[in-house]
Amino acid sequence: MIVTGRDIHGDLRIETEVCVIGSGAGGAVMAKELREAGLEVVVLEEGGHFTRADFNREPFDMTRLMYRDGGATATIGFPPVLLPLGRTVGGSTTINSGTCFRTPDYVLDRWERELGLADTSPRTMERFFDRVEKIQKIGEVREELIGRNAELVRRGAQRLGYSHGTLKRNVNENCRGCGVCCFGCPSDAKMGMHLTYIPAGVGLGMKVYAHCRVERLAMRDGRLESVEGTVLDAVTRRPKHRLHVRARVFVLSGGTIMTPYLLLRNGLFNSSGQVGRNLTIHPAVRVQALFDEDVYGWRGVPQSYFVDQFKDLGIMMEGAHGPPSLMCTSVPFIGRKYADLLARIRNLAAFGVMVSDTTRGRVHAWARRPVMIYQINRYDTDRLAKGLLELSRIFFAAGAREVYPTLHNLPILRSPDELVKLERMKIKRRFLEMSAFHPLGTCRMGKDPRTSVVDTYGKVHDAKNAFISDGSIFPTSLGVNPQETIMAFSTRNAEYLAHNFRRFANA
Amino acid sequence: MSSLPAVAPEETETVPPPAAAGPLSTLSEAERRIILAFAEAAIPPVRGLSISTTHVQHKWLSKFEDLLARMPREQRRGIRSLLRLIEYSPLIFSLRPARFSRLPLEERERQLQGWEGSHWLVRRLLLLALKAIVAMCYTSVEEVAASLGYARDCLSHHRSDLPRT
Repeated sequence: MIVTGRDIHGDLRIETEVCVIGSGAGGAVMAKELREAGLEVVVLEEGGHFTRADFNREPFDMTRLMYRDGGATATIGFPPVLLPLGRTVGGSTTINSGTCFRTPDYVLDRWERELGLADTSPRTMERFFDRVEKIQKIGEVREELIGRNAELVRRGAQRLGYSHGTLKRNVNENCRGCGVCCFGCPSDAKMGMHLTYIPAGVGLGMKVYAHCRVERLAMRDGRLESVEGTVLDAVTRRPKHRLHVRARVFVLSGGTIMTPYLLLRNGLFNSSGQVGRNLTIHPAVRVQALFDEDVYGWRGVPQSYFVDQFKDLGIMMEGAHGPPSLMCTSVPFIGRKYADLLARIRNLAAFGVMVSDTTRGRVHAWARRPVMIYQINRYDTDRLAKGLLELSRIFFAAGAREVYPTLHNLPILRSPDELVKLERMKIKRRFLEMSAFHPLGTCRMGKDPRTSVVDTYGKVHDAKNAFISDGSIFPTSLGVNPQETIMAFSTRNAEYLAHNFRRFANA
Repeated sequence: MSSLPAVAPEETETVPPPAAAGPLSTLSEAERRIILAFAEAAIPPVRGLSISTTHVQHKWLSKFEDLLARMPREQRRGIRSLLRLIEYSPLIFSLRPARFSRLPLEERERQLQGWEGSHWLVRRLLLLALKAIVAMCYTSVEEVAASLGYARDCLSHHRSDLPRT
């Protein structure tokens, strides 16, 4: 059963065994797995419930419908970083590119060996990845759907001898390459939570309440006893009714920004002082290139290809294209030059560079909103600059006429010879136009309650019956798109919770 | 006893219902004049595309006003302040006693190029933000998107049984 604000006509009081707050990659997986284990589960989601019928392929409309703050969320720092967040049933899985990677082995090894996190080795995690990949239908993008944008990058990478390949995604056979994965899949091909785990859980009797925003957490004797919040109007999103949920176990899955925000607002689970700290985001920059031929980068899967030649440096290059109303925001210049380039947008190719960041930001709860402070460090800036250089090289090798590395002081490169300018340039962070899509780490897991918020299974150190299941628990940056990691860890932690439910419920 | 910490209520987003979705008059006449002057200078007419054509202008401006109406309060205030800053920017940045919206097109374009080339990061970012919003509203107008080559089609139609939304 999925209930939305439209269906709720009075204050809502619920009692259940498990209450999951958030329905993204962490919450939905946890909820469905717990329901499958026989527990009574209720999911609360602040966003609305949208389906293919609502997805009109127009980024402008869809960002307002399914993104927090209409997609305008950003970190504070020099420079600020655009950090779009999903707010819908399915969370960011409904509006992401669908790219899936297993957690790199060296990351899992590091977590186990250096940070002492039990049961995180690649071998232990394998069966959880296998399970997620089967449910999510994860596989490589079909050749006929990779799109001209990816073909050009492949051509450039081949000519330079760089390592490259087709990305894996969670899509079924219905994918037609409509180019709007980030704005709701119009073919029901991308296996967001709203199409997989949530319907599966609902089919087993799980209840999902959309438009329900949790605001207060009530503790008693070291237990999270109940949560309170607001039922929002489905259309206006204005507060409509009160919400009160009692449960024996709570799972917080609001995501890397909203989970610490909720905890900080309530002053809870922060004896370590780590709530909100340790924010990593995979900062990213985009390179665009003008070709004589038509590219139509929005035809095909926008993120279908990668170049991982520099993965040892923590640099990953992935497709980053979309419809004109998305791409127009990053086309360089102003005035006649901008309009001229906009008119040739079908000839523009675009690819992104992201780095596994060593910078650490912080989420604060200020002025009744989450505020993210993130000041990128020199090392990460240098690697982004390296990525810009190499991606520009790839585009020239592919035959680009002009390359735009989105740099303030070098907005255009007209020939491969000009790459020297970029190579010799000392790029300052304020010259970069960055965005990021993978916030992680703000309620980090660890074995020591003095330095971490949750244990290795996501159980909150400071509460007897509360878990966190989202990207906030990961102690370091992953270097790859995180949704499969979040799903696999949620599967593992759900198994642990289900097995030990009585212990936590009666604690 | 159960302890509920005293937490101030969450900020409420002001989202007008779609029923009121006709043009939302969130902009004053002066603000509308500034944003139109800005848009024309930021995206001047080229190759048959013009942001100033009456019916296109009406559509993207409606989208802009609707977007503004749905923004959190502080962002809406920020955009309004930015419009005012742009209006007085010739005086502030060029010591020229003139309002942006009353300058000829070429002069407005030069003013915006000054913002774009500024070494002051905040100034560049403010320009980038407003340019992005205006361009997004403009290119999401169906006939503009079509003229740019975007037909909301897909690469493969092998599943034509799926209805197009």
